[in-house]
Order: sequence, then C-alpha cells, then structure tokens
Amino acid sequence: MSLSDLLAMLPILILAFGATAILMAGAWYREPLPLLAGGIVTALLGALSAGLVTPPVPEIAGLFSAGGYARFYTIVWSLLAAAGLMTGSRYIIEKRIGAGEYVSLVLYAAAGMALLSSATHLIGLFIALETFTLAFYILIASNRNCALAAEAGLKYLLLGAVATGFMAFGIAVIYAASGSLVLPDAVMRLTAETGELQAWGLLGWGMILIAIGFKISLAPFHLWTPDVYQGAPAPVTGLLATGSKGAVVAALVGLLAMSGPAWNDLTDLVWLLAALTMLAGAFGALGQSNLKRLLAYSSVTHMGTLLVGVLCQTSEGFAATTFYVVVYVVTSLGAFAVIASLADGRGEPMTFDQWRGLGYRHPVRCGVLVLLLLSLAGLPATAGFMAKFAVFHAALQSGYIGLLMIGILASVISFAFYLRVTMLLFQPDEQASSWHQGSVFEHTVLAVCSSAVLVLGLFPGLLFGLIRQLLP
Amino acid sequence: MNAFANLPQFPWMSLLIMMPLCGALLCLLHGKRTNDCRGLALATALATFGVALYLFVCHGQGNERWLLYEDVNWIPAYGIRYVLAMDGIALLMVLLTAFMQISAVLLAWRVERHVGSFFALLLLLESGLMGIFLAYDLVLFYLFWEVALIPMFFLISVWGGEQRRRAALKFFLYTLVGSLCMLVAIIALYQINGAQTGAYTFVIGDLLKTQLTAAQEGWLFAGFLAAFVVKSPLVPFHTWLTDALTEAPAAGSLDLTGLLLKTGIYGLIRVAFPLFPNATADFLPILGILALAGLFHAAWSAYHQDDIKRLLAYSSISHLGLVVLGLAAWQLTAWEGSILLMVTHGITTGALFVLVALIRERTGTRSMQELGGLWGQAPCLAALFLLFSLASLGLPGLANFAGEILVLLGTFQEHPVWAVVALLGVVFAAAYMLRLVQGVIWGPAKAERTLPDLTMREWLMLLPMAILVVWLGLYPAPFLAPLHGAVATLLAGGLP
Amino acid sequence: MSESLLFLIPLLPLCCAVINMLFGMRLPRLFAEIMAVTGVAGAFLLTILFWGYAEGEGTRVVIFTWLNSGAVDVSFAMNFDRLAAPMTLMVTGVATLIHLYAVGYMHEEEDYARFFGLLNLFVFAMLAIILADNLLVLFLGWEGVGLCSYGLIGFWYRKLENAKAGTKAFLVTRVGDVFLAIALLWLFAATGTLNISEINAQAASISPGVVIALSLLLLLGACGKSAQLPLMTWLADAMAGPTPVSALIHAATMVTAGVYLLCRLFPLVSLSAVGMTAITAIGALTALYAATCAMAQREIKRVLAYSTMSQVGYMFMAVGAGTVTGAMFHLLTHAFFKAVLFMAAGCVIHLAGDENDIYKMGGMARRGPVELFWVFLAGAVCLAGLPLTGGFFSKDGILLALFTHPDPAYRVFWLIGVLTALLTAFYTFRLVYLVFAGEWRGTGHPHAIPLQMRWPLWPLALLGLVGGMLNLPALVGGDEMLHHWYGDLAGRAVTASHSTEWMLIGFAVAIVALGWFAAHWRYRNYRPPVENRVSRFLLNGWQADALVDRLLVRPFTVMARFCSSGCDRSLFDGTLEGLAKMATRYSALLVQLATGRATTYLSAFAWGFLVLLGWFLLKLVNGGGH
Repeated sequence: MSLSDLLAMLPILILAFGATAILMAGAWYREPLPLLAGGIVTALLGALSAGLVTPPVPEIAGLFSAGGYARFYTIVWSLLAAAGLMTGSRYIIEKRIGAGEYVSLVLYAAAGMALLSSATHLIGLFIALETFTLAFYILIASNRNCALAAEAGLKYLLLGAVATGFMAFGIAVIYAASGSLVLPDAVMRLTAETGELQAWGLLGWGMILIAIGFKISLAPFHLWTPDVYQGAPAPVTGLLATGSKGAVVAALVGLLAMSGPAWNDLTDLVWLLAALTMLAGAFGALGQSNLKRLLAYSSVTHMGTLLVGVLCQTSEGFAATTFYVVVYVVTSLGAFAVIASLADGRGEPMTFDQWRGLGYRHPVRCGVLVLLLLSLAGLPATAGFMAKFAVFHAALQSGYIGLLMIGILASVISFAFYLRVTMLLFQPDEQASSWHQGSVFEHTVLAVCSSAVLVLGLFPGLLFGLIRQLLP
Repeated sequence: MNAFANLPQFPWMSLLIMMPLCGALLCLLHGKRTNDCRGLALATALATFGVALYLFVCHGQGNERWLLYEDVNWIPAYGIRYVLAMDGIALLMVLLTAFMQISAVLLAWRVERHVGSFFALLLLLESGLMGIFLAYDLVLFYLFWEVALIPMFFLISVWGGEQRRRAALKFFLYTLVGSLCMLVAIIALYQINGAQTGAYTFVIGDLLKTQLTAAQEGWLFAGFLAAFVVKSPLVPFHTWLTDALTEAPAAGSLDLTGLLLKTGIYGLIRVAFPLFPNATADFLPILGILALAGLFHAAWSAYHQDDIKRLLAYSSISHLGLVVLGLAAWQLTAWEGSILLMVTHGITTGALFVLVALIRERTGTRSMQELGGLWGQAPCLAALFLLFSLASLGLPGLANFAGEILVLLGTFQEHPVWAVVALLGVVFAAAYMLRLVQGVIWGPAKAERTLPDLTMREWLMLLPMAILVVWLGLYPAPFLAPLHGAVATLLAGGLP
Repeated sequence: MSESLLFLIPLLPLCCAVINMLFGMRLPRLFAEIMAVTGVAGAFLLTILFWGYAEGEGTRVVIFTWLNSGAVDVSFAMNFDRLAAPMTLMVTGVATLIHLYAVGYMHEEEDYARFFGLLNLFVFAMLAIILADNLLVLFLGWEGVGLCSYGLIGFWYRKLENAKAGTKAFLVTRVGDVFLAIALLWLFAATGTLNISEINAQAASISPGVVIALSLLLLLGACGKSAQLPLMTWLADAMAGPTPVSALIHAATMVTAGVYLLCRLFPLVSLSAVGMTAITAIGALTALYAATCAMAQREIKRVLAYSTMSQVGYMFMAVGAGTVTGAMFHLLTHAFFKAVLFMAAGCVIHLAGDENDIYKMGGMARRGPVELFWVFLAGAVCLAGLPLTGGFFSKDGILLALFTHPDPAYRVFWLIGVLTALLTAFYTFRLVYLVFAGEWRGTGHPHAIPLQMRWPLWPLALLGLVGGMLNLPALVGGDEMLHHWYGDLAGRAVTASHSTEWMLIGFAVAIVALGWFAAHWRYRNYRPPVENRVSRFLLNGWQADALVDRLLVRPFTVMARFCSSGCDRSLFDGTLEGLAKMATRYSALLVQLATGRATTYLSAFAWGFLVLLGWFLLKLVNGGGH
C-alpha cells in the first residue's frame, strides 16, 4: 500500500485511529465530556480532510474508490457521526454508558459507512458492511440496564448474521460464476455470451439484494426494524435509521452505476421490492401508537421511495437518490435527536400518551419535530418535498407510472400518520408532564437539522449542483 | 397613469407575500405578549391591505396583459423560476384577501389560547393565499397551494370545535389527494414540454405553447382538475368543506369560505383552462351540469340544517356552483359575473360567518332550535344579519345580485336552459336564507337573555363589509374595470 | 325646474327611509314621523311640479351606470312618461294620506323607526317600478317592494305566525319573480337591450313563438306580485301586518304592480293573442275565485284582501281585453276606495278592541264616530259598483271592453265578470250589514281613534266617489280624459253603439241591486254563521294552502332531507369512512406481522428468499428459451 493510497484513505484513517485512541483513553480515563469532545473533533477532522485533501489516486488498492462521490459521502457520514455524538452526549452520561466505547464505536461505524459508500470491490463491500454492522450490534445493546435494548441488539445480531450469510454466499456465487470480484469486469464476464446476466450471476445478485434488503429494511425483510428502533437508545436509533441505511443505498447506487447492463435483468425484482416496501411501510406506520416504531415504519416507506429513484438508473435517478439520501439523513436524524433531547431519568417519550400535549410544554422542540415530520411527509418549502419531487420526476421520466401511483398513495397515507402525531403534540392535555430541557449539544443538532431542512427546501439548487458534478 | 408608475421594478407582489410572512414570524417570537401579537397582526394586515389598495388604485384601470410581472431564477437544476404575475383578476383577489384578513384578525381578537401562534398561522395563511393568486410558475404555485393548507389545518385542529381533529384531517387529506394528482400532472407537462422545446421550464406562459395529443391533454387536465374541483368544491367532492367550516374557529372559517375556496376556481381560470384549451372545451358541459347539481344539492341540504354555521357552509357551496356555472358558459359577461360573484360572495358570506361567531359568543349556541327573537335583544346585530342574508339571497341593489345577474345574463346567451334552471336555484336560496333569518332574528326570544349589542371592534369589522356590500351592489363598475382585459385574454386562450 | 331633478321624486322617500332606519331611534319621535310623511308628500308635490315633463314622449334621466360588462350596459335611469305620471301621482298621494293615518295608528308602537323606514322604502321601490327606464331597475323595485312587504307583514315579529306570513309572501312572490327574471334574460338575449322603450320598439321583430312565451312568462311574473292564480295564496295571510300596510301595499299599490308591468310592456304583450287570452282568463278566474272566498270570510281584513284579489283580476281582464286605459282607470279608482275601506276597517278594529271577526262586531254605526260609517259606506258602494261611483264607471268600462272584444270567446269572460260583480255586491253589503247594522256583539273595549286616523279618510272617500270623472265615458257626456292622456299607449279604443252601452249599464245596475237585496235579506237582522263543508271550503280559500303544501312544500323538504342525510351523510361520508376503515384494517394486519419473535422475522426472510428463487427459476426458464 503506497503513501498515496494512505493519503487517499486519510479521512478513514483519521476516523479509525481516532476511535482506537479514544477507546484506549476511555479504558482508564472515565470523564465522558472530554472523550465526547475528542470524538466530535475527530469526526469533524475526518470531514475536513475528506473535503480539503484531494486524493492523488482514483482508487485505493482496487477495493475502494477515492472519487468525488466517495468523498462526498465520507463527509456526510463523518458529520453524521459528529451529530450522533452530540445527540448522545447527555444520554450516555445519564444512562451510564461508557463514553469511551460509545464514542469509538460511533467513529468506527462512521469509518465503515464511509468505506461502504466507496466500495468498488465485492470484498471491500463485504468488509465495510461488516465493520459498521458489528459496531451497531454493540451500540444497540449498549444500554445494559434496559431489557428492550438487549433484546433489540440480539434480534439485530441474529438477523444480521443471516443477512451476512446471504451476502457472503451471493458474493461467492458471483465469484464462482465470473471468476472475479471486481465489479465491472465481474459483470462483464457474467454477461459475456448472451449480453444478459447468466443464471448464477442472477442468483448471486439476488442474494446480495436480500442482504441489502435486510440492511435498509425492504419489505419483507423489514420486520425487525420497529423492534430494534424501539429498543435501541434514541441517539443510536438515529444513526441506525440514517447512516447504516444511507451508506448501503449509496453503495447500491455505486454498484449499479458500475454494473451496467446486468441491471436490466433485476429491474422487475427491484420494482416489486420497492412497491411492497412503500406500501408495507405506509400501512404499517398508520397503526402505530409509539413514535419510535412509527418512525421505523416511515423509514421503511422512505427506503421504498429511494429504491424507486435507484430503479430509474438514469442520471436524474441517481441525482434524485443522492439528494433524497442526504435529506432523509438530516431529517430523520433530527427527529430522533428531538426524542433523545427529551429523554430523562424515566427514559424516552415513546407512546402517544406520553407525547400528548407536549407541544405546550416544549414548544420549540415540538415545533422542530413538526417541521421535520412535515419534511418527512414531503410538504413543499421543506427539503422533503424537493426530494420527493426529484424522485417522482425521475420515475415519470423513466416511465414507472405504476410505482409513481403507489408512491402517491403511500405519501397520502404517510401524511395521515405524520399529521396525527402533530395534532397529538398540540392537543390540550393538562397532565402532560414536562421532560428534560436538553443540552446545548442537542439543541445545536436540532438547530442545524431544522435550518438544513428549510434551506434545502427553499434553495435545493446548491446541493443539486454539487451532486450532478460527482455522480459516478 | 400616475406619478408612481415610473417604478415598475419595485417587487410589490413579493412585498405582498413577504409582509404577512414577516408578521407571522414576529408573532411567533412575541408569542408570550398577547397584546403585542394582536397589534402586530393588525398592523401587518392593515399594511398589506394598504399595499393592495395602492396597487388597485395604480393599476386598477390598466388593460395590458400583465399589470405587474416579477421573474427571478430560482432552482436552475430543474428550471424552476420565481415568477409572479398580476392581471386584473389576480389584483381583485389580492385586494379581497387583504381586506378579509383585517376582519379575520379583528375577529380573532378574543382568542385566548396561544394567541401568538394563532395570529402567526393566520398571517402565514394570508401570505400563502397571496402566493396562490400571484404565482405564475407551476412549482411555485404548487408550493403556495400546499403551504396555504398547513395553517388552516392547525387552525382547525387546535382551535376548532368538538370534532376538530377529524374535520382537520379530512380537510387536509381530501385536498391533498387532489393536489398530488396535480403535482404528477405538473411534472408530466414539464417533461413533455421540455422534450419538445429542449428548454425545461415550469412557467405557465411558456407551457401554454406545448403540443399535446388528445389523450395526454385529457389526462393532464384531469390531474389539475382533481385539485381544483376538490378545492372549489364541486359536488360530490364537498363533504370536507361542511365539516371543516363547521369545526373551524371563527377567523378560520371566515378565511376558508371567503378566500381558500376561491383558490380552486382561480386555479381553473388561471392554470387549467389556459393550459388545456381542447380538453376544457370538451369538459365545459360536464362542468356546467356539475355546477347545477351542486347548486341544487347544496341548496336543498342547506334547507335541512339546524346548525346555522353548517347551513351557511352549504349556502357557500351553492353560490360557488353558480360561479362555476358562469365559467362553464365560457362567455365574457358570465365570466366577469363569476369573478365579481366570487368577491361579493366572499364578503357577504364572510360577514355572515362573523355574525354567527358573534351570536355564538353571546348566546353560546348555533342551533336554530335555541335561537330566535334576536331583533328584540340586539337590534344592530340583527339588522346587519338581515342585511347580509338579503345580500346573499341575491336582493337587487346588494352585492351578490350584481354578480349573479351578470352570470345569468351571460349564461343565457350560450345555454338558456342552464340559466333558467339556475334561476330556480335562486328561489331555493331565498327559501333557506329566509328560514335562517326567521329562525335567528324573528320570532319570540327562546331564552330570556340580555345580549350586549355590537361593540366598537365588531363595528370596525362589519361596517366596512356592509358599506362594500351596498357599494358593490349599486356601483360595481370600478371592480369590473380591471377584469375586462384579463377575461378577454383568458377566453382567447391566455396567450398575450 | 330642470328635468335632471326628476330623480328627486324617488330619491326623497329613499333618503328619509335610510335616515329613519339608521338614526330613527335616536331622533325624537315627532321628527321621525314628520320626516316620513314629508318624504312622501314631497315626492307628491314634485310629481305635480314636474307634470309637464310627462307629456309627449316623456322624459328620460340617466343617473349613473350600474352594470357594464360586454354587451350589458345598464344604468340607473328613469323614464317619466304618460303611463308613469298618473301612477306616480296616485302612489305618492295615497301613500301620503296613509302615512298620516299610520302616524295615528302606530302611536303606541315603540319600534316606529323601523316601521316608517320600511314604509318609505316601499314607496321608493314602488316608484322605481313605475319610473324604471330599463327592466333591471324595474326588477330592483320589484324585489324591493317584495322585501318591504316581507318586513312589514312580519312587523310584529314576536308572533312567529306574522314572521311566517311574511316569509310566505316573500317566497311566493319570488316564485313569480323568477319568471319575470327569465323573461328579462330572454328579452336581453332576443333584443340585446334591457331598455323598456327600445324593447317595445323592437317587439315586432321578435319571432311570434318567442313573443308568446315571453308574454306568458311576464304574466306569471305579474301573477306573483298581484296575487293572481296560481300564486295568490300569500295575500290573505299578509293581513297579519299593520292595517296601514295592508291599505298601502296590499290594496292600493304593490298588488297592482303586475298590472302596471303588463301595461308597460303592452306593445310586446299585445302581439300574442294567446298571451292576451291567458291574461284575461287568469284575471277572470281569479276574480271569481276571490269573490267566492270573500263571501265566507269572517275576518274583516281578509274579506277586503280577497276583494282586492278579485278587483285586480278585473284589471287583468282589462289588459287582456286590450284596453290599457280601462286597466289603469280601475287601478286608480280601486286604489282610492280600497285604501279607504282598509283604513276605515282599521278604525273599526280599534273600536272593536282589536277584534277582527265581523260576527263579533255589529252596531258600529252607533258605537263609533258617525262619519266612520259614511266613509266606509262610500268605499263599499264604490267596491260594489253602485251607479255613478268611481268603481261603477271603471268596472263598467272593463265589462264593456270584454263584451265588445272581436273574439267571441271573450263573452265568456264577460259573463264571469258579471257574475263576479254580483258576488262582489253581495259580500260587500254583507260586510256592511254585519259590521254596522244590528247590536254590538263583541266583548273588547274600544280604543280612542286619534285625529290623524280620521280625516285622511275623507279625501280618499271623495276621490273614490268622484273617481269616475277621471275617464267619464262619452255616453254620459264625459270626455274620456284618461284615454286621451294615454294616447298611443292607451291600447284598443273601446267603441260600441249607445244601445249596447245602455243595455250593459242597465244590466250592471240590476246585478248590483240584486246583490244588495240578497245581502239585505240575509243579513239585515243578524243570524249566527252557518258551518258547513262549503263555507269551510270557501273560508280556507278552496284549500289552496293544503294543495300547495302537498304538491310543493312536502316534496321539497323530503328532497332536502335526502340530499343532506341521504347523500352527504350516508353516501359520500360513508364512502370516505369506508376507505379509512379499510386502511386501518390493512395496517392492523401488517402490524400483526411484527410479532416481536425473531423466528417470525426469519421466516419472513425465508419467504422472501423463496420468492426470489421462484423468480430466479422463472428467469432461468426464459433464459433457456434462447
């Protein structure tokens, strides 16, 4: 591995080594705040380096790309890690979660996501995926004195293992069929004779899709989502809902961009997955009476919509998907951050009874929550609308009218359940108890998220311009 | 023109949209200090009205295609532009909006809970409405279209009556389905036009030239129609309105019936008809039938109500049926009548909703079973109630008649049968309005209560409306003047 | 005086009305009353002053533009011509006297401002009808008088019956107005203008079929306001209003608006024989119907109301027979003597202690001031058509016109007219005998009758008696003044040989005498009323209300319930509820899938994988295809 490779990997290295260092420090230095601060700084450094240092080589050891696309996502995930740390800061202190482990694991996860988003090689893909999945296994269960969390962790581990199995098997099959693990020429060889994917190749792809389907919880592999989201600590859920999914989608977009014609044979399978996912998520959320579970299902719907963007496979589609990912990450993280910021000794407000009338106790944060929910629903003048708009535009352009209609139906339903929550918040209720006032860190995150939602909603041109430059 | 005409560059229309928005933000910030909020809201409303009035005075007589036009590049990635354009119709609607908003603010004076947020929402609604009436880029139009829903949703769901949550959700989702169909149609039209010209744009003026096959045109028109017909609302898509109007707080129902309903019809006039002339031509007869059906259905339903607010809600639907009939006639006089009727109906029915709110405040009921004999208890209130009821049943010399007779005269030229049938509806209007009057102000006083008559603030609300009702009834010429050019252009296909 | 000041005639009452309505209660009572009277009196004097402008083609005054859009260009304009002038004079004159009477009649009412305001407003609206230059202004007045009568019938609103009577009057007349409105729209579509004189000028160019339809529509419109069949049900109930109102609106002026409308558009209406026959027929039937009802009424004012209906029927017959003069002549005389009858009836009711039932009166001649009896009698003889009274000449002119009409079918109408005259004489004298003859049968205590209520009766009674001078037939050495005044507006000139005229006159006299004797024989000495099916049938106006209720009102309410409960509640909302329920049901199913057991999730995985395999095999088969 040459120096230039290392230089290209600088952001990842910063994250990884920072994580290790903080883990070491955490071992005998138990004061949480400095550790958190260190972690946040590391994350920001990672983002900076990814933003400023132009890598000398386009590809790192044939495993990961160092192109603009990869670096873009590296920045996003590093910032996400920073935000996650800020969100969790007060939480872990209250719940007596070891600051060292928490910080380092979040950073590791971030590194993993960054790698995943830039994977060009199936092995690279596999490694990156496992890296952050492992980190999440622990993070989810990190709150030791909460049974739900432990259960959630276990479920995630179990199913994750199965998914990993599918992944590995899929890769193996593709390798067996093509004799290569580097994506472009693997696909090339698979489609050598007929111009369309050979049977084995199909099987391999299908299995990889299943694994991915688990990670980004596409129906019918989404059932774990509500349980895990509910059990995991809110800050972790925030990361899980945004980063782990976003990174995989990013990787998927990358893979497809590289896999060329092979893709055409998978479209109808993906079509089915997307339709199923949108509907399952929307209808599932409708029946919830627990905000975290509701958000879980809403994330399912969003993944379905994202898949539509991916399916289009046009530059429009990729741009839309990327924009959607960023917007979704910001919004969803913000939503979970609100929950985390309200958490206190009693835990987090989850059931609707706990949320009823909170709007009068904590007007600002509930206002932010309403804004974020409306953005998730896709109300114009918020970022969510532009994201949906872009995806619908792409879908219509590629002629996926059926999916579009399903998407419309789904978004009508999602408006229904988001609005029910907002009404709940401002429902006059005398015995609504007030929750924690939240720390500076948490408020900063909320401020950043909400302002980002508005700015991206009113001036999406900034981001679109950037994205169109660095599409793979 | 006049001395100020030499600064067309000044973004008056953006000012109209921004002022209420800023007012709303300030109200949110001063949420704690109730009186400041009231003053602030009132000041904002008055200032906005001032600007609108100034524009009316400056450009009220102009007959060029656009009295004002603003165009800024907004989202180049999708060729979305920030285009505002004002013709005579828009000018009239803007003026109406600004005027009604003053009454709405005054009416909301008595709100106790969360005053700051209430006024903020009210002003946000105003700016959304201004946007709808002025936007000339489809995405911008859609943005305001949706943004105007949210404040109304919260006004109903938080400050509304018993069934408020159900009503609010129904209102929002029902209209949302329509608008999403419109969104798809917008994007499709954008792509078709872009593929033809290579220049991707959402500006209505440019989209007018799109070449569409009959099938395409039909589908796209249907998409837009879904949004506008639900909002208008045409029977049978009207049930959301009766619930929403009944449950909404006083100021909310004033804005809903006075302004928000008009956006649907305005959308038809400004967006749907010009963009899809052929589909429109095929659809007009159906539109006329729907309008008549609505006119009668609503009139009958109104006659059966006991809750006076619900009765007025139905009467609104019935009147809007007549408005749509005028449009369906596709004739100059009828159109001008329809637009005038939109304005006058906004004022009369708005005023009636105000009065219902005042009666509710005093007596604590809205049921005709428990009301009656108001004349003996609060003569001024009762007299105004009578005046506006008579105006709304179309008494000559009062506002609504001017619009109605123009609609009928125009419609008769094209479709005599429609006009004749519609005239029967006029008797129905008399039937339910007189039933309302008889139940509220005549007869013996049901409960022996002493009701306070109108206060200063209430006079301030109602007197301008009363004066306008008489003025529009006797001398509507200044309000018809700006319409002539705009209507002629639209009937010719909307191209300048 | 400059002609541009003509608009002061309607403006004066309007201003007084507005002032009275806005500030009346704050003004001293006397001031309000004086203003109300002067408003009308002023209009009367102005009419006399401006009389000259009416001669020749009349004078047009445009005040300002009302509606202006496309082809429509309507302004507030008045046309003071030969047809309008006498009507204006009559309305303002009679109204002045009735206002004076009202000052006395309402002296105990504390809500006087509303009363006088509405009364003045009514005069304005009536003048708008009379002086209108275009149909839209006429329609404004047309609806305006309806509104005022609505407000005044229900003036004592605390009794719900009064309010209901007002509403009924408004609604029934509005049904008529719809037909007028249709005619208005059609005329505009046909001639491209709403100006009355232009329409009359172009009338000949409209296709005959359309003219027939238009005249029928106008007839129906007129029926509403003039309480002719089939829209007559409201007038009898309208007597719930204060007596001055009944005198002014429901006897002298408003109910004759229909007649005036037909005379205004006579050049158009007269073009269609069908229309003319229909007008005559309606008039004849109403005259007979109302007369029969009047015979059985118990309330003094209801008797007079039905007699009004019947007399207006005569006027319609006159129009139908083609003589505008005859119609207007009878309109004027009738206005005088009917006003007097109503006002005298008001005094009688005062004396009887607010007792309406004539069977509980009697002996009024001796009980009250003696002149009251004479005045009432004067009105009565005019109504009965006693020779040489105004009523006699006007009614006789109509009968003559019917008799001499070229179309023999009109003899039938003439016969009906004669029969009606008989009945009229009978019920008139029945009324006189029951009220004034015999002993006092009532219980109430008499109220004092203030001076203002007494002396306005004299001039009117006098006018009624000598009203014949207005248009004295040449036969008795008259110069047919009114006929010459109208000139080319007067319609068909009625000419007949002296022998026919003498014959008819003799016949009429005999008829009246017969009616009087019948009444004399039956009611000279009081006998309690007979209660049988016939009398009840006539008392309830041939059960017209029940019929309307069954035919119109009930279906309407049923339809209303259907639309509101049936459609909206059940159908539309039901559908929406159904959709919502369906959605929640699906969501419940999906939520059940998330059991929380990892095994379930794994099986979901398995299913997903199976689907994939299936799809994969499918693909394989297809792939094997080529």
